[in-house]
Amino acid sequence: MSQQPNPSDVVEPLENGTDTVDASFPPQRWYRVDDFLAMGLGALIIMVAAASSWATRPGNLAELTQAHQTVKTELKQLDSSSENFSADRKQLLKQQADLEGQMASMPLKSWLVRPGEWKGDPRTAFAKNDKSIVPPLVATFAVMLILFSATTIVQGQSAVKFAFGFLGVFSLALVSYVLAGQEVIKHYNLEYALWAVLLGLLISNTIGTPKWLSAATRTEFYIKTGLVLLGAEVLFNKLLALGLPGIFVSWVVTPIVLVTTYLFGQYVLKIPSKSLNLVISADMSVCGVSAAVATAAACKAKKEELSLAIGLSLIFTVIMMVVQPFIVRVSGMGEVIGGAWIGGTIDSTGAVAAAGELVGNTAKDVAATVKMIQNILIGVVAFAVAVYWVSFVEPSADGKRPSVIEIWHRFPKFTLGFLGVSLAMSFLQSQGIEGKTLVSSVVDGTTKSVREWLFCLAFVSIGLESNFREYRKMLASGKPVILYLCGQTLNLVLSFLMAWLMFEKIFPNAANELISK
Amino acid sequence: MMIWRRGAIRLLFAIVVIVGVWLLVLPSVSNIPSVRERIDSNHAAGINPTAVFYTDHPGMADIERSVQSRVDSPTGWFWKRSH
Repeated sequence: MSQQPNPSDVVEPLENGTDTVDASFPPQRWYRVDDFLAMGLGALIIMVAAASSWATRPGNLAELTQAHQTVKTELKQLDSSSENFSADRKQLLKQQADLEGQMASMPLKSWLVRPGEWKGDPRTAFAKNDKSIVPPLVATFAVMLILFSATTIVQGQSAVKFAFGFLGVFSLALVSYVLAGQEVIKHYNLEYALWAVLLGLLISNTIGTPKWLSAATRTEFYIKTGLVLLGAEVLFNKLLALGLPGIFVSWVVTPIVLVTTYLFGQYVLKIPSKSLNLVISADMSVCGVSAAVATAAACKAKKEELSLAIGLSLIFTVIMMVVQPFIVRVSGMGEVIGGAWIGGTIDSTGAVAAAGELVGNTAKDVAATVKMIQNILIGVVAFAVAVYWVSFVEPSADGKRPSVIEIWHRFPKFTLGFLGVSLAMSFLQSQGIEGKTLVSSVVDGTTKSVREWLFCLAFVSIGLESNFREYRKMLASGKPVILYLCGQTLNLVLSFLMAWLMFEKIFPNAANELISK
Repeated sequence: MMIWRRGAIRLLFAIVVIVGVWLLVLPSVSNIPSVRERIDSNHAAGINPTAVFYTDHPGMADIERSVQSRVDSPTGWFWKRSH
């Protein structure tokens, strides 16, 4: 393989000594580059998860599959005019859920854990169903240490130094989860990402990040590997979950808001950093933290820009999840339109469900489904942002538009892994109930937990590598806040109009069907 | 050394504040009736408000099944464009 430096592998030092959410190692052989290693590691984790689920599948899988098919047919043949329709449907749905639960084998799930919810005694966060989760936590740490030490060795760095640093970074991530698990914090949606960044910042801005800890602050690598794993959750088959109305509210309004907000930031507010503008626009219009992470990595945003965007999203989410249900109730806009409005505008899924629940059960279901469809958009957004960035934003050495070869060299290759995993898992998901169960086993049993840990480690690393002064500088003009506010206002208006158009004018029966018991 | 010591004192102070807020203030806040009601309501509905992605939400599979059964209703009523 060529020894020539690849432009995408070289760090471009940025002002104030900060670097980007991009590869941060010197020019190396291709297999030592973060993007390829992240793809390899992600693929390995997914394959191990799939193999373990397949190896431990229930012996009566064929019978369970047959029973599931029978329930599905019965569900379709239910007589909606029957008196027992609602009760029968509920019972069949429960049977379906039970069968899917029996079919999905997740042998690794109980070994990949994180601290849970607690009220007054943080020690209770380390127990689940009266059973200590300390041994599984140690196992989670050991697995991640082994995997990442191996990649450190491949990259020609000291695994021993990394191991010491990783112990520190992992411990800070653990504390972030404990802080986020306090029930008031949790139920007001102040996610672990916030506490992870703040804990890191606290250390870096008081005593300074010690050298031994810096050895394991691999923000880009954690993010890229986490995003490849997130690909397994971006299933395109979910697009039709709410039919055409869902697609219009999620996939038509969202890109319009994203592009309009970005252009507003560029040409009206004149935000100096295009990447900050893009990350805020994406996290506000698509789905909060996950969209911010994916976009920041795709457009090589600064670490501080990513954490600022996430901070803005979390703060406004807390406000919106209280205010929006109130508006839905007093305006009488109804559970379906209200639910679609909430789902299309509040950033994170958990907050959407909690806000929807304040309106009613149907609103919660519609809101969460709209948000799920919107979540799928992040695969496309990350890829489109990566293409746009390397083709039109990054200048080439001679100031001209880069050639196709140059675009390929600069392209953040991990997005191909992200999209590739997403397409592969979507294909698997479409292969009947066996495929669907395997995908659910891989995601719920393994990749989801690893992905959460990786993002938490990345946020701790961001904090450890950041400086308060950078945030003060970015916030001094107030432009990021104005951008978020203006973009979200447009989002609120357009999402409401589209929800009203879809559920009131074009498919009025859809709303009635969703409300029916 | 002086700067490091000042930083260490600040860090120590921050840790004391965090411990105080999380062990004393927040547990008291969670007993405020409106806050308690919200937490209990989320628990009852199986909602995890900190779910970042749809797959993080514990009740998502049930919601999907329920919505799908309505969209796929045998009457095709969901898709009809008029009342």
